[in-house]
Amino acid sequence: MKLYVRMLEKLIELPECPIETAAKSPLRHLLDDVGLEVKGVEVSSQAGVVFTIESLANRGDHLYALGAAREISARTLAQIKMPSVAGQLPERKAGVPVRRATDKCLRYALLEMTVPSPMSLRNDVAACLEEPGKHHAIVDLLNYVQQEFGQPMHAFDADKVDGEIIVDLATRVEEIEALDGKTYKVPEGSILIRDRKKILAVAGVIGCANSMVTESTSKVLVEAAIFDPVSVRITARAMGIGTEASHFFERGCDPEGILPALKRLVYLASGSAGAVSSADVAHVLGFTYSEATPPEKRKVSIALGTLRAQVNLLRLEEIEVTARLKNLGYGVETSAVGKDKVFTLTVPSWRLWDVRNPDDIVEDVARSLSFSRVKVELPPLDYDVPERDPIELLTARVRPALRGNGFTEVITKGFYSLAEVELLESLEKGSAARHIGIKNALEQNNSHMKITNVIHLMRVLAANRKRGLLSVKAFELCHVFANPEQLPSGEPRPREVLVYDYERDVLTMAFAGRWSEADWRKEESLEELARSFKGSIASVIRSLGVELSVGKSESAFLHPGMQASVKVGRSVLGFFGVIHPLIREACELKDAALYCELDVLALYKVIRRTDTPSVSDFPPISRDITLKVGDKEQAGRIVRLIEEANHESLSATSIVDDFKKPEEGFRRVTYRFTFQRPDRTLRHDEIDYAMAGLTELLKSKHGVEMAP
Amino acid sequence: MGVDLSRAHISELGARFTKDLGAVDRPEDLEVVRRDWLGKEGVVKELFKGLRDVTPEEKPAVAALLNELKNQVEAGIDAKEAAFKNAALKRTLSEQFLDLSLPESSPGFGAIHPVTIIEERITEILRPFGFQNISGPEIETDYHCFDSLNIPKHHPARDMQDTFYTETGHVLRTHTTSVQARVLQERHLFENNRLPIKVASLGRAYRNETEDASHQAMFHQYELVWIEPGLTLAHLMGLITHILKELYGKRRKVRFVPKFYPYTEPSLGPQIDCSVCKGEGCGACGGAGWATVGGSGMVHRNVLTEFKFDPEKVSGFAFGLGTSRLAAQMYNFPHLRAVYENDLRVLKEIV
Repeated sequence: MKLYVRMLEKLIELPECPIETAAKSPLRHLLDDVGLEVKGVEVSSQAGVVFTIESLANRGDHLYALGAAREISARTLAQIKMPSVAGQLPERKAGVPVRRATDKCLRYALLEMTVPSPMSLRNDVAACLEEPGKHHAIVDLLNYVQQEFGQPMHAFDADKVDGEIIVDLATRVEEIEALDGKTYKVPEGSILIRDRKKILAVAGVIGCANSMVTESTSKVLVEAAIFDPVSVRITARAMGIGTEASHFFERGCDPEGILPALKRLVYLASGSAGAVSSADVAHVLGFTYSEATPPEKRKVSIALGTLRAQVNLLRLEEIEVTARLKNLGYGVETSAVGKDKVFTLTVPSWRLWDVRNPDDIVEDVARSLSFSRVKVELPPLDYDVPERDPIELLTARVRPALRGNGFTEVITKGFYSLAEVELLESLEKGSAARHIGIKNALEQNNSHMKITNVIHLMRVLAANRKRGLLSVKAFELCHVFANPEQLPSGEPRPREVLVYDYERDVLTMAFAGRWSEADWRKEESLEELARSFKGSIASVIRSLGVELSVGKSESAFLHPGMQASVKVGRSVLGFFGVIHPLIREACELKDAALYCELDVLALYKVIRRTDTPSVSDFPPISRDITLKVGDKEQAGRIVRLIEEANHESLSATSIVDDFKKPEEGFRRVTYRFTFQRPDRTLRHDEIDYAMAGLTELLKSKHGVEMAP
Repeated sequence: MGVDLSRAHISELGARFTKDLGAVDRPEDLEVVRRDWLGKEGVVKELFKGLRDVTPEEKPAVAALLNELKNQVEAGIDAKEAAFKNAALKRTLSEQFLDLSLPESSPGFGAIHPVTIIEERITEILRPFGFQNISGPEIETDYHCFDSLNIPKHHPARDMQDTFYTETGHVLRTHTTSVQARVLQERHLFENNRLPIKVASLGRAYRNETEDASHQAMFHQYELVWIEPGLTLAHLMGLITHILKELYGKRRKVRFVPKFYPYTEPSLGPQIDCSVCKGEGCGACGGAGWATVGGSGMVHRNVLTEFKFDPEKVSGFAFGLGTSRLAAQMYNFPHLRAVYENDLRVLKEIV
């Protein structure tokens, strides 16, 4: 909302606010401190200083100058100077009868008055309006009163109203042409203002063009009402419109504010002391008022001791609390209960929408004191340290390993665009259906939730290569999302660590460029890069206390011949490999790139926590053996087969050479078997025997042959 | 013929050794001298063999003379040998050269994202208070994100949330406070409302905004809830002040301004003086000189009641610090978008 300092200073004495330094003025800081957060400052010679205030969603009374003055008054204890108003409204009823047919309209008042022609506002009044002169002067005047008193009002051209004003609910979807010239559909159940033939306004939202005040209007019916905030909000939302009036009504207007606002209007419109510069002033012709049950007189009690404890001010005195609350509009009664004092407070009518319990009073007192006066205190320490979060445990190990391997953590969005979904669908039929769509994304790029992090990390690689980085290594811990195969029940259940219905945690790594950040002699081959990348994955896995092994993988997002699964023992944790060229192209990445995606829950399950390290002091003995391995076969498979044989003396199996003669249809891969026992030195005949057994196993059970 | 073991002869041999050693200028010549003097048939061995013929009375004196000669020879040869080795080493060292100014070969050293750095720092700061970090889903139910947190369907507060709605009928959590709701619900349904509750939840939250330099559809929060009898507003403000002072230093100014959050009452927004403009007012802080770094408040009694905690008996506070905003303030990012630009040149500068 716009807060005009010129309007405010008529209501209450203010701290300094020089035009030149308004943004840093004492007034600005005061406003921030009492909860009228300044989001912008405008200065002009005509309007003076105008603050744009971000009002709190529960405080309809913060939307107008008098409300702001009350907050200042509670802080500075300066008294409010109430603006002049007309004495009494006439007892004569308005010429058009009013029928309030729904209690969703809590109060309805109609003031009939003439409109002088021409009519213009005094300059100082016009200066406190956002677009003075854009509307008829009577409408400007209504807006002025709204800025001051917070009561939205609407003027109908009396000559365009047919016979009666009816306030009721729409029984079907209605279509209206509004004051802004647009046509809207109004939902069933909305509060409508009608006459006998037509809809005049959508209550609390916008008026209709059919009864609009124009320069030829000579008589108006000014409506001032209180509408149900929720009803106004539902209607405005459904119509896709947010007006100044709906903003006020949604936050709740003062049920007792109608009459003062109308009296202020009459004062400003009908006397030379008011706001109208014309010699012709308005004349009030009649006034009609209707209400549902009167608003409650809400009482809330709170002990002085409670207030003192909350703000930790033992010397907070009854007299100070009373003064501040009274300036906020509370009726204050005090009684003694034991050694304590209890305040019984009557909630002011403009706060009936938000003040309901003692906590609200704590807030009002703390705010009026200023939070800077609260004596802050640390809560007690706790030596019963709880169990650490799995993610915390995991990342404490994984992040240093990644960092040591040159990987930098990035944070990418959780979304994909439709184009990205289609790209993945082109690689994996059916993947589009796994994507969870967003129904209302404002940005096209945020239309779906990502099912994999591959595209985002590729974009990170591409952007950083374009920035000139020779070697780009990035990792991210994030959620990926997918429609589950079976819809979850939604029933509450005890939390399972890292288990969610529509998402899971993944650790993703990606790389492009040179492996060495300053390798100036030669570029590494793709194979060398892939091995280095795999080495980093192995470091991550080792950081969990376990060893990496690999298996077959069929990710549609990777190169079909250059990928593998990441395993620990028999557990598959994820996959890695060279990125599919179509993804690379889509991300405008020129280099080949590598990607790895690991399931964090699976990683968490394989962490080795408390094992005692076991090492042997007896000498290891190694034997090499060269086997035939197919051109497109994973050599690592044989390592796995050997490990699965679980020979008691075999401590390690590794690949030490991979050689291919051009004329042969297979590769010669040399494996090194290392034997070692914890209790004694092995004899050569024992090792010969073990080697023969393992070789035979490979041949007979798995068809693996020795290289000739 | 017997060996001459007279004092004069032994003394003469000592002088001869000194002369022989002095003539040696190559390691191989030193080996000849070693053989001639200390070898099996060398001078020293031969002299010791002659001891057999010496009378017992004279033996101690002669043996002492021979030992003296032997020590002289061994020490002389060792010293010469060491001198040769030193000279050789010196020569080698003076010849060898590695140009270590050439570029290193290394996979480099990565970096942790500033948001993570802030998260880890806060976790460490909070550890002595006994907080447990708990993870939660980003795709949330309306109930956990709004309804249970005192944000009914048609309350204007929902406007503040700018919610993403998914086709599954869920929302993307607009705050990590949804984890708070899950924890309270779990304590109610499965743990008989066990207290105290001291839980932190951190991670991404989403707002359906048109994105620009200061508005992103995703941001990070560090949310905390503490429920236990006797907690006050002063405790809440004390803990937040402690965190912010630990993060930014004791001289950093901290203040609280009134806010409205449906799930807390009273509600307040912690602010620090803007690091970008040093409190003068700039784009990063909206000209205020103060940057709001989160939201906080005493847990609303409606939230406590929703999960069957008695607001007359227990109280609690909750706050959510914007870790992306804290990171921006810590490392002087000019705006929020810069935190998420993933420019490795920038991220690697942050250690």
